[in-house]
Amino acid sequence: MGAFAGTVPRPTGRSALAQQARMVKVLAGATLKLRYADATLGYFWTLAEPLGLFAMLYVVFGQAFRLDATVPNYAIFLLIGIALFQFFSEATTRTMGEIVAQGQLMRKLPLPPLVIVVAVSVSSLIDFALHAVALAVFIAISGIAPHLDWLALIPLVLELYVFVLGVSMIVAALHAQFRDMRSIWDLGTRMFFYGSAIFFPVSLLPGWAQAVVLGNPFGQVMQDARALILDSQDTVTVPEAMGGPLAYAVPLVLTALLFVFGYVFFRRRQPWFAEGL
Amino acid sequence: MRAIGLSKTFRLPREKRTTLREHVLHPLQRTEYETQQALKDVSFEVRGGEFFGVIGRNGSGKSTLLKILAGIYRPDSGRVEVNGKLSPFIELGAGFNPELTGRDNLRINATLLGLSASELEERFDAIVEFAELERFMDRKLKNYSSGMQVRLAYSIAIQVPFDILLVDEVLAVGDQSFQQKCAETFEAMRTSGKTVVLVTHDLASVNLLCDQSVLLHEGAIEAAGRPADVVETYLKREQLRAGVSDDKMGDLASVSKALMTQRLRSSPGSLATESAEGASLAREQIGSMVREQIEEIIHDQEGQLRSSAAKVLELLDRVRARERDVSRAATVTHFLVRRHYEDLPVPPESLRMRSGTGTEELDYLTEGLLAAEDVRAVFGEQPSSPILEWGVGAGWSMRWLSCYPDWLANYHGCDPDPEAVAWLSSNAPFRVVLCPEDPPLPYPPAMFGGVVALNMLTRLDPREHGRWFAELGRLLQPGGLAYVVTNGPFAVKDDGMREALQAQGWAYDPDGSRPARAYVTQEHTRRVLDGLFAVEDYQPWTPMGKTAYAIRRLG
Repeated sequence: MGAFAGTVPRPTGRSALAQQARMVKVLAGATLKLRYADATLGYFWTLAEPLGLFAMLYVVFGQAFRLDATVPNYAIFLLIGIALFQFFSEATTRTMGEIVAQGQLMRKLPLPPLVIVVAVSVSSLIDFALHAVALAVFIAISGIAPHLDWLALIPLVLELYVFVLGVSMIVAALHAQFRDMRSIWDLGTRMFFYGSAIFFPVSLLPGWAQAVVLGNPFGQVMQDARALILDSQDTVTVPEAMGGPLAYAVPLVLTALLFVFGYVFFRRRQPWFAEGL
Repeated sequence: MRAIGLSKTFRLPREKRTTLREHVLHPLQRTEYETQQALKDVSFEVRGGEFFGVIGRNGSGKSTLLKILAGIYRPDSGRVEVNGKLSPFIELGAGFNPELTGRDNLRINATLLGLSASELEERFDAIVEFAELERFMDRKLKNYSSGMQVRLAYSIAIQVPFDILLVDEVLAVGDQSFQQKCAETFEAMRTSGKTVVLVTHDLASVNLLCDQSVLLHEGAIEAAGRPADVVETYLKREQLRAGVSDDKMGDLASVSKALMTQRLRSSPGSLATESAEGASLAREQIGSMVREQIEEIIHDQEGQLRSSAAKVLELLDRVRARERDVSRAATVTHFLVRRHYEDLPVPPESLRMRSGTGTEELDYLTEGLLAAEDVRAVFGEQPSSPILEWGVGAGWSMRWLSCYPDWLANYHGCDPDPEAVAWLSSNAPFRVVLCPEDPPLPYPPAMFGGVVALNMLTRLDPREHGRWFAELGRLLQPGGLAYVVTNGPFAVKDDGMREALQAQGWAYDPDGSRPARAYVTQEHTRRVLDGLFAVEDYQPWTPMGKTAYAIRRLG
């Protein structure tokens, strides 16, 4: 039958990493496959939530509160914010759920918990990319022409991804220990949503609040993305809100710190995930 | 692979605080923990190419050890040194998702187990072929039978390249022919020089497969060395334990009765005791009871354990464990028993039930054992005159009775199935003859002191029963005993027949759930027995509503 592999190379650091990368790939792949199982319908369903939110906010704030008069291209402005927020909240919330849901699996396979975190964030990133396609359609409809500057969006998304990963690791590690973390985090993301100037322009805020929003890596990425896409002088970005381009150090260092702290925090708690869940 | 001084303690909070709210509201309240030392300073070395067995009772620390070896748990102290690629086989099909296709699940599971993309490509076809699922790969897993799932899982697991395999109780799965393949796989592992660490309470397979073994008891190594010695240590301690609990058991007869009523194959939890505690106690008692009975059987005349003792005890542990995966475990045992039980010849496939799940043989072995014990209970330890079993089938009960040499000398069997008779007469030391479908049986009148009919009457139209009881009466000496199972379901050819039977009070269809079946009533049985036999005792035989009668021929 020839059922067995012959000699097997010893695992090295690199091959272990490659193995973990493969695990991430199949786990993320499975998640996406399940979500988009019903190919087109699955995709539209994932769009339903952000689009519903968009429609509501657009009617209330764009039409009723006349923000569409203050903010040029308010629809696109709002969509950018919602798409980015959706990525942030989906990735963090789902990581939290998965770390508990996959506890069984972790007890049966030497599956590093970090693999689960990364797999969820990768699948969320892919969801985001798919949402971005829809966003691009809206942008095209609204008549904004793409230009080369938009390439700067790539490092921005990467920055956001690192930020999301850092937050995910922290909330997931906390969730494994405290099961009410989910409700706390529901509240947290909601506050994050209202506090991040997603549906209103930062310029409406007082100076100190502008600095708070833009010191937050999420706010910085969102505002930079808006400035790039909408090509609008009115969009407040870090230099305007925090007194110069050097202030970019604040969200960037914050991202790095959050990531490192999240990693260390998660690693310190992970041996107990399989045992304690 | 070396384990050096492994210790592990679990802290089990008395009252688990799992929410932040509780921590915030009661910041000063210390959580109280009960500590449970699962492993105490466990060290051993497994050399390359060795089959290494770890045995012990449930809760002895086996699973903890396995998970530490696999890198899932972290030891509190000590370390594991591994030289080579380790593949843990802790649960088949970990990470299977019912909503995905067989193909997707194969890829996911294989990757989680450590196959690289190119290795997977290379082996994909081999896995599918081994699992015999070529036509089903694009079907969702939820549409697989459990047998198909387990075949897929097993086929993936064995294709993962490894030097050292950690196995938790998974040796053979699926139906007969697939189990054969599993066994071949294990043989192949040995010839290709793989190292296998088998963590199990399956003494038989340790004895059979392993070169070295350790016995864990309460987290510490109690014995190490040759499997035969280690297994013996285990058995000795277990017997000691069984002896102690027997003392407390009190009235064995009442337990025996419970056993008769419940049967081993009744589903777990069906024990009709008021409380869960009571149920588990009853289960425990039944378990101990069966163990005692089996221990009696597996001792030879000098009181020494028969060489096959370990396997039988193991079989018992399976039945006794009654865990959720009991059927899988039972399959494993039944496989081992079938292949390796020297004393009990096993009939060829064609003689066994052709449908079923693969655990059927265990059921038959167990039922055969119980039937044999019932027969001994009815006829006594040493029958003074010959006993006839009408309808020996594949010889399940005869095989058990043959463990008692005195019984064998006085036991006769007949069956209308030529194949069964041919096989039994050449493979088993029984006196078995072919008999006709209709009476009379080829024996002179009053030849036997006892007659056993386990599964013959239940297959017959109840209108035939009167003739057959008369025939059994003819064969029995006056005052002779018969042990017959009746009142079983029988095939009803059409509604007309059922109504006719029902009208005459011969049969009924209790809930209409199986319209093609009718059940012989006790009234009918009493009526046909009337004047021929006196009913000494009767007991429910299985959940299907059969009844076992001990009846005495009237003078």
